[in-house]
Amino acid sequence: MARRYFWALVRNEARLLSREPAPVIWAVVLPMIAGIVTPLVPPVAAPQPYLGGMSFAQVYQPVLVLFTASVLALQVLPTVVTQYREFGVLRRLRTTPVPPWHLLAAIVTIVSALTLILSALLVVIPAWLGLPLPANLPAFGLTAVLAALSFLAVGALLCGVARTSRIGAGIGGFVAACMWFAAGLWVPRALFPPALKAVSDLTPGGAAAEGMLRAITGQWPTATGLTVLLVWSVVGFGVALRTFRLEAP
Amino acid sequence: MAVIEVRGLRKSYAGRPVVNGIDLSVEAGEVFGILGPNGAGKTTTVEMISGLRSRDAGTVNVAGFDPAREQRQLKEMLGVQLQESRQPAKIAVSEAIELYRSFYRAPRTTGELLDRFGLGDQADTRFEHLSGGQQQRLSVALALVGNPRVAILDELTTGLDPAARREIWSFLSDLVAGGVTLVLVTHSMEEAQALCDRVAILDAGQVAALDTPAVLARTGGTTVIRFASSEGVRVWGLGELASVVDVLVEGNQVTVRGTDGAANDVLAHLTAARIPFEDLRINGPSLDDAYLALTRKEPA
Repeated sequence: MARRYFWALVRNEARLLSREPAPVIWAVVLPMIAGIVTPLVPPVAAPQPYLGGMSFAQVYQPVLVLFTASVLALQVLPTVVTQYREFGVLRRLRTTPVPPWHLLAAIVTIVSALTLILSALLVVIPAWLGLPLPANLPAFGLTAVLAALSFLAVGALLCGVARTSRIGAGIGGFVAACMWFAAGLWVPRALFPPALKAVSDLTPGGAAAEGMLRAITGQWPTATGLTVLLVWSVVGFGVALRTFRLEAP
Repeated sequence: MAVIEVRGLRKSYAGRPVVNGIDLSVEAGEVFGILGPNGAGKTTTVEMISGLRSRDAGTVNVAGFDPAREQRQLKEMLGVQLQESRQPAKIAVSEAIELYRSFYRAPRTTGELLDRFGLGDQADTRFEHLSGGQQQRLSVALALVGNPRVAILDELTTGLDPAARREIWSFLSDLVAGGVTLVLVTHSMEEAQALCDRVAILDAGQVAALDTPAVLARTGGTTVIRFASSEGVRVWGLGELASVVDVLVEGNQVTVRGTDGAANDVLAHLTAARIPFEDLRINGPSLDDAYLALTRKEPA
């Protein structure tokens, strides 16, 4: 019984998400195209001394993984959840035998599963096209999982503090853009001035990108980097649990 | 046997009492109407009955369960339609019904609900493309998916055209014949008169009156007799009749208000006094009059 309706909820959320063009394009299509194209363009795939011997394609790999994760956790999740609160969907569920948090769990399940699957594809497909695999694959995987967790936590926090879906979508977009910047989307992290690097290392995007870049060169993420991701996860989920409301104010 | 038993129910928001000592009991198989002006506490009352809101004081018992405690068992047998609850924009009608079916142990079939609520042609239509009336019908259908013993429907037919409204009424009559107890929160006197076995009129968080629509109509209502007469001066004699409350003459239009037997007395008087009249209209007491008399506000 419990299992039956939970999977019905998951299936339904997946179906609804696939009908929204924006998340599909931003979280799936664009990063995939970039992940396929970059290893195939010789200058982009060639090692560059000023990037510490890595190629553009390699330094952008963490950016693409984090881009996908941030769109799903910081834009899709808050938009869907705050809209459900606004539409009274969560309130309506309170009158059924299914508690509304099962719907929230279903949404988080979909977002997490998509993040992990797409992240894996963004490593495997470029490798198949000739890009070297991260030298320390377990470290890369660990960082990607912790990054997804911390983004989800910040997304959950937004679900709690944003009073309307418009505010949720607005803040979510802004925070996601900050993460992209910290991860090196516009300027590669190797070119960050020291002060900017120090600040960005304290954000989930910056800490995650740094950990993944270290994994690409065979190292493990620093303890500080992992701590930053864990602290954001704990704080984000903690605030979310305290502020989240099932009904619109 | 009472299926819903409410005693001394109270709820305040920020110190302002919204529900101020309500007693109700709804019998199994009954259609029970809750009427009242905006802010009378109707929605808050049904929210406390359905377990959506906590109460400050009083007891509530729904089919043996306290909605504040035994949530799971209660919700299996209670269907609720809420005001202002929408479905996700991209969900199709049949998908929404299938999803809600998965929540209950012994749900109705999708086909039956689509048929009953005239949504067969919209089975694959997404919620965002439904008309207001179709959205409302889906919302009522979803409240009944779980085969509930008790259904609470808040503003059931708001925004429906008269044909759709009558279709839903006929479905509800079938439901009641099948043993379902219905609680309707409504603004529509017509709906209350057509469907309800008993009606509670709430005002300022209290039950102002509770009885069958017919009895309520008689208590608060007056009979109004209107006719045209060229001999306006002579009709003043009508005011002497015991059953007449007052007489109003405007030009050749005469309006007489009175109690139950007034129509007979007025006709007898006009005939006996040979006062010519035409365009005679008699309006018996209605629930509207009772409602207005009891709440002393315009219905919204």
